Amino acid sequence: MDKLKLTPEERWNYLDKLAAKVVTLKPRRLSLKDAIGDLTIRPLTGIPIALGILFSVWMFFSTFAGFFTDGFMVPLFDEHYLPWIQNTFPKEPSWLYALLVGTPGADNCFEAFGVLTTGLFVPFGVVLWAIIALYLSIALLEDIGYLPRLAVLVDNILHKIGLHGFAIVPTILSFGCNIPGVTAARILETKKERFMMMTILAIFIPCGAQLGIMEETIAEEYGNWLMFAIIGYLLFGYFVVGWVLNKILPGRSPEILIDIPPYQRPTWKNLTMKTWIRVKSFLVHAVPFVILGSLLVNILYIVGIENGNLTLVSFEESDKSIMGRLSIALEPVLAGWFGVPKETILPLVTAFLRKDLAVAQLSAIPMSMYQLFTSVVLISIYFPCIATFAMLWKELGFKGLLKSIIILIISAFTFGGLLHGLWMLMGVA
Amino acid sequence: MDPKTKYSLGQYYFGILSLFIIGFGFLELLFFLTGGEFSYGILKIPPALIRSIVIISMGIFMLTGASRLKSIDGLALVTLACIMLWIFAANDLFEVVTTSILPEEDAEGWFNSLDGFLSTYKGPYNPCVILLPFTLPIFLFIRNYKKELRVFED
Repeated sequence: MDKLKLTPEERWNYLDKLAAKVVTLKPRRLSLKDAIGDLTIRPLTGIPIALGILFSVWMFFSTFAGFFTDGFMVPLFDEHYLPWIQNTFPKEPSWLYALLVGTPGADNCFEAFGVLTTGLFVPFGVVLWAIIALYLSIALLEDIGYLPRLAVLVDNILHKIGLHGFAIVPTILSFGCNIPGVTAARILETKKERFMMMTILAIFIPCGAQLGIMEETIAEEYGNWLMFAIIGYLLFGYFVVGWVLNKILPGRSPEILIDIPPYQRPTWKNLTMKTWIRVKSFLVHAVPFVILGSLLVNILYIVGIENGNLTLVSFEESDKSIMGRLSIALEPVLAGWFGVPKETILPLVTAFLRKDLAVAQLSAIPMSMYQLFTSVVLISIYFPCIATFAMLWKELGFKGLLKSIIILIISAFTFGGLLHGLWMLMGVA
Repeated sequence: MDPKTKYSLGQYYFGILSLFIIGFGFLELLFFLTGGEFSYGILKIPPALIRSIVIISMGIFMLTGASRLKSIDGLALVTLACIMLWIFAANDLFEVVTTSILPEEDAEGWFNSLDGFLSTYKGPYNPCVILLPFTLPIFLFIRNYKKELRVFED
């Protein structure tokens, strides 16, 4: 028999006969691990378990990050480091002072905005601890074998937007950092799926750094519910835009077979190694952007244009700076369409470099809770940070990136404007 | 104790425990809806939405599983409910440990005083921590099942 000429059905029959000859089957009882594994993929039992596990990750994240940030980093930076650096520099505010130390007389590193104050406090005082907690939790879920089960559980929901269950893996990774999330989207089979996944990840999933700052600023002031509401709104956008893209983009979304490994005990060595590799990547790739972001924003704040020449402007004349002029020029869009203060332009410019730094800057702008909600949503969706942007370029090519940017601009105007409309209907805008 | 009596006792034990779990879950949900909080002795019931939904679900899993504890499905349901409670309790205990290390608000220094450190452990604790030791008998049944499985495979 020429096995190469067999139809698929004949080939399966042949394999069955072959297996019957060489495999001896013994009756087998389910092990407890198998039975628990089954329960975590059945919707009735799996959904409450998934909710519980994701909520536990959140609890651990808040406690761990809060312990290091509020317990040690805030006192270290605000009570010791900031006064020291303010006294070390000459008392008279100068452009160098503005660039490196930031606002004269600032009493905390969140609102100083200098390269050596906010630029160091955000990555090392806040974000580092948030991402360690998040990466440790993600590594644990990966190692015990829960993530593939979550993929099976959400398969039906994700099929509604043209993706399959395994898309949950890049999504969860993106909650740590968008870059590994975008990279993990490579596992999706078709070009359509990869484009959709990368685009909605970059637009709607807030990274761990941003979540850490949100926890420190928004949740501290208004409570966790506001953070959950913001994340909920972003996830709503994730599904709506995903659904629309699935309808309008050509291409197919085939089924995929994934191997579900048995539950296993995680090893400490694996967990620490995975966490360290990811944290190291943050330190190497993200920290320079935070510092660069602080520097760029401060330059835009102290440099003005007069008669076509660049001039230095003082803090009191910040309206004459490039940033001041930008905020005046964009006021109709920001205040008119989105209903946020014109000063939001500063975090929006920063967000292109680092979203965490941008959220930190938002906390210093006086605004209502509703405006804060819209501003955080805008910062999340209006543009991916530059590192994610570069990764999208690499993965999608220039044409794909352009398409992604068009979707992003439409999404920002739609979802930002929608919120403003909602606040107007509620009479709180 | 013969296995039949053991499983029968286990069914009652986990059945009653599950009622406590469901009750605590409903109280957390009630306090979330009404904005209250309860604290008495070493027990405190905080207002919580997501947590309460998960705790109530775990109570229902345990109640369902307890009624057929001898089967692998029942045992798995009870074990899963216990694991989820342990995860919540571990998170609560982690919060207690971190609170005990840090100084109280407006206090000087980087670390808590010895008195402050020790007094944190007096409680009160969330229901999952209180319920934690009562879920440990599940290990007896897990061990039993593993023993039966070994006999079966041999």
